[in-house]
Amino acid sequence: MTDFETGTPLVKRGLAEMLKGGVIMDVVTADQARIAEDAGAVAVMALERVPADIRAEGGVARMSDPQLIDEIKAAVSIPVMAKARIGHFVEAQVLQSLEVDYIDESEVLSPADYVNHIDKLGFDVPFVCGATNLGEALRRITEGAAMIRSKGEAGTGDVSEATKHIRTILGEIRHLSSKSSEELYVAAKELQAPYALVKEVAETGKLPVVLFTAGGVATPADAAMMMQLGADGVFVGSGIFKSGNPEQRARAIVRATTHFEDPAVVAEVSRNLGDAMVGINVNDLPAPHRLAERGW
Amino acid sequence: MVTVGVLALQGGAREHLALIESLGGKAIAVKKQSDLGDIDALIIPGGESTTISKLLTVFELKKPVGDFIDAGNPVLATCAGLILLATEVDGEPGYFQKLPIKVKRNAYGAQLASAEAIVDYQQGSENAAFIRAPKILDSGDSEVVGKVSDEVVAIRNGNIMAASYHPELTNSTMLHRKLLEMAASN
Repeated sequence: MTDFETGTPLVKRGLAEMLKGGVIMDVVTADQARIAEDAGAVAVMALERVPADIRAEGGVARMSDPQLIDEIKAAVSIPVMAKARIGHFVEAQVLQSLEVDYIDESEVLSPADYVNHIDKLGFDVPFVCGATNLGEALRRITEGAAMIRSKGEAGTGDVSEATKHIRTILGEIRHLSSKSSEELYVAAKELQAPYALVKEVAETGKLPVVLFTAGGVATPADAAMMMQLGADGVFVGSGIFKSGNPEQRARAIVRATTHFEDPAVVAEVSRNLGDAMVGINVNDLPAPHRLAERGW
Repeated sequence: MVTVGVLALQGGAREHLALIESLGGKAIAVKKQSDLGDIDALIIPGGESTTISKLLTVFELKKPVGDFIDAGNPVLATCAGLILLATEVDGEPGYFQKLPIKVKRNAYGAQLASAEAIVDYQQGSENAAFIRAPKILDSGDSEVVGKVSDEVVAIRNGNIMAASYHPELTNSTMLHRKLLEMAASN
């Protein structure tokens, strides 16, 4: 239809705008996808293994089987996302041909290219990418990312890295906004990001795309804290289906994300939730096993 | 001054709030029943319609919002909002059933089919974003407000205006100005 122009930056970023205030859940089966949708997830991330299992089992982590992605797509009406390895543009081409709604170029999988990320502007399907700081976020946006998530440390259930990354990104934006116009040229050099984008962020006081948070969110209070810190929404990976009662925990995290500023709601949904995922303290992880350090 | 509430359980509330403020109205986010007492008109924004409907039910907002609509207050619903108000969605009964239309969800397909298009109104044309948009299959006795070519994409039925797209993402003001007019004369 000639009246409709597809694949524009506006419609790529627009879908992320509609996910705001929502929870995106990792799922590994069609059944889990239905549970997530019933609990009120705004989207699901179709995976073969959740990050906690990737961590436990080790080995190279790759794009999921297209058959699994198709089954999950058929099971739900909410958007379905899927992960490609950093720099693996053919995995991204495959995911686009499967008509997933969003591609996550993700450090949770083993990188396929230690120099280049995917040229995301060449795709009609939108991309979300992880970032630990503002410079990294702006480089991903320059490459065409239509949504950013702070990385955190996936598969740990330890929220401290998520806290650090969202605070860093938003703190650096506030700092940028306080700079004079001549200082922005140096800021662009230091952030290793294009001047025009740095100037835009300085003027608007926000990223030009939606900013979610990810990596270690395991409880309703974790999700509400991320929202109070300024995230537009949250990704929950292993935190739901590695817990004692996934249905109830999924619903509770969705509700706490909506009423993140109301401790009474967060308290109410946190009652009798059962065991959270056991988790790992990030400080106990040897550096080579820290996923957030993948990507640059 | 007219105060417009934007349902803010999930989805694209922020842009609607900013658009109403830019047009000289007062805008507040609606998350609780008590917020409805402070407003003259309501916007039900885009987002994930399944998520928003579950949150409306859980937080006991279905009846108060339904009563607000039944009282004749002006309402603007966009994308997911339109789905929530329709009487029939994908052949099943809709959530609020306040708007006698038939709609199909994700009617264009997956995100790859999301698109920008020029919407023609009686008073002019504006660009808008269709994001995993629904289609109005049958608009019943509703007045046609906006079209893309021959396709009906925005309608009015009594106190309810509804669009299958996102005027707020392109700062398209036609429907918001109309809502403020409806609220001022209500």
